Amino acid sequence: MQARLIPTLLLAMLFAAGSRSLVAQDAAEAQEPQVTPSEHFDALEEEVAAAEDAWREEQRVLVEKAEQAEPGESMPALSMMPPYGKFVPRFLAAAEDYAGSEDAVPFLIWIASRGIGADQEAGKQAIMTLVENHAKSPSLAQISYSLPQLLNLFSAEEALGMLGKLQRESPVASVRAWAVFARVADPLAKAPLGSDLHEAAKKEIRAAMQGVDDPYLKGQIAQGIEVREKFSTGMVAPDIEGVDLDGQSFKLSNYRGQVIFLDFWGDW
Amino acid sequence: MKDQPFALIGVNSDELETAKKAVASNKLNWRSFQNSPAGAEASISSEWFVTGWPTIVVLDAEMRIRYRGHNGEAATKIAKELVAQTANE
Repeated sequence: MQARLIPTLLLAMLFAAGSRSLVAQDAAEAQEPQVTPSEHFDALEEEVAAAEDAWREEQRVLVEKAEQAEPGESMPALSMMPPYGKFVPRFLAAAEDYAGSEDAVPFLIWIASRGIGADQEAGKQAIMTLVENHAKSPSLAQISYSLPQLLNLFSAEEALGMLGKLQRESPVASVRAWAVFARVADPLAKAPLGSDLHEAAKKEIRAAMQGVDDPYLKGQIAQGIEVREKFSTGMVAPDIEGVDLDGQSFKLSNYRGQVIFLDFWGDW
Repeated sequence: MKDQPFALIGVNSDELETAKKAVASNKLNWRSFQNSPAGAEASISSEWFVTGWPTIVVLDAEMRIRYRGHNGEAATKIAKELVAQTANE
């Protein structure tokens, strides 16, 4: 009985050990990143989202503590943004893995838009890489609205070079329009009305806006053109003919002769 | 500023019911245009190129623009000065 049991136990143990090593091998293989670049990006984003949630909760607790604190009690400082900095190296590494291919673009865009607040150098480098190697990527539409920032981040020469390249090479009309706007925003806002400089800026941005439907950009441009041309200090305001909240018609000019305080209000 | 040459006029972009509730609950007594009443071709805010809120425009007695912006205090100061000038004329 005993004699028979021992080999059985030994066999069982061997089998257990053998199967354990097989399992370990499977796990090792599964860890090899056979993920696609977009799965890779989604996984990183998920981690970022979790870190954002944790950060929000931390801030909430800190604010609560601060509200209950005695006067003079020292409090830990609130942080201004989620801990994006610690993710920058991982997005950088991924961008490096896919360097030169379209697969690198989402990682670079992440660094350029969110990572840049924590690591400006990495952000600037990502922007330069995007413009240098990926000017034709349709994904650049995601960050087109921040193109005017290039003039704050880089020297004028560098920024104008990058904006010019995007204007020439991007297949996306809104990216080209934003690139033009970034260049002409200053004369639009500041060059004297009617001056050659203002007129040239107007002409250029209007041409670039053909076929572009971007309400935010349109609003920005209107501040530099229509608002200045029709609503500058000293100009006579257009009349308003409308209805009040009770549906009664009235005109703004009914109040001519008085000082009018016109307040655009509401839950916009 | 009762009996002063002064008119406070609103342009309200809310749904009509929301706007009426706001007026009732805040006891607001100034007259407001509906920004985009049913059937209107364009909203007042789009014709005036207003893109940020609140926006305040101060007009003098000849409807000339004297202030346009988002700073309520600055607008009020200019309006008060204008009212004093207008009342003295």
